[in-house]
Amino acid sequence: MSTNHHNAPESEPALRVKALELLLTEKGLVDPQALDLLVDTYENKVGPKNGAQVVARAWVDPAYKARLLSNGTAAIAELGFSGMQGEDLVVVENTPEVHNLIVCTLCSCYPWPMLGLPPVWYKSAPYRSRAVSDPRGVLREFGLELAPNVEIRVWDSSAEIRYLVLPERPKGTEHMSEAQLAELITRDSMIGVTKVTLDSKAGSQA
Amino acid sequence: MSKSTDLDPAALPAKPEDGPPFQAPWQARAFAVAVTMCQAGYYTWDEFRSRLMAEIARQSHPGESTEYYQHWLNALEKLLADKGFVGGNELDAKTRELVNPRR
Repeated sequence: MSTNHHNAPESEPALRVKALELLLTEKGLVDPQALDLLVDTYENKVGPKNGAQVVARAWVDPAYKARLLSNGTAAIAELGFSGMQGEDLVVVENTPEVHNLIVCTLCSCYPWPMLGLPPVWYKSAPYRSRAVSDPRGVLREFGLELAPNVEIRVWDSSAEIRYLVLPERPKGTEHMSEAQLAELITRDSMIGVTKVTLDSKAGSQA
Repeated sequence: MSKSTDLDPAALPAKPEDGPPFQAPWQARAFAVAVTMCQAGYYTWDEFRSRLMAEIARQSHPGESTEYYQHWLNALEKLLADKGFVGGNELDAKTRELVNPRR
């Protein structure tokens, strides 16, 4: 086997992960192809488009919405979504009076089957602490100014439960199809840091 | 009033369209090892999660989020050692072997 001496030396964590993977493979505990498949799934296949599909369905189908709010996990399974971090999904509904925000104060729990992997800011210490201590300030940084009479409910993921925000359907979308609606629904609106507007473009978010 | 915004531990990290979920291939591999072994039933997600929380809780620079997958890797190494799958010495030795391959 040839060694390429022109490559930059690998970083310490890169070497440790490679060593770990080699050992686990030798022991028959992991299959490198299964790892490839999983990485591809989370890099390219699972993302906020899943959540957008669920929200759009809930907007156009009141019976589905009722099922989604009473048993999130079962309702997303109806559309073919399941998997890790979606086993106990609770969907919380935004209304003109109540705005919901999700966070994981202790690590990074997040509804993977609906939104993919979390953005960097979601995992950061400032978001994890300030979403609880100063949610209104956090929302302002995302460009969302809520009226003082709107109640903000912050949902901290626990060992079992993952949350997803059901954003409000914007006015002026009555004529839109389910597929057109899904195009408007952004990842951030399902975390609860923004609202869905007629200008939102879900496509611009990875 | 603090002007050192890039060091302000209360500031949210820049929020332009965030980029890919992993910033280096090793982060993706560490993620995948933790998830697939859990799916295969070698441990529960909560066993991993509790170690990840402990790693995050003792981070020295609360403003830094780039270290996230380093915490992830530390948690994974601890869990695999606790479960007897891969010991710390064994991993150290294998890592050294990769740095200085025997000819």
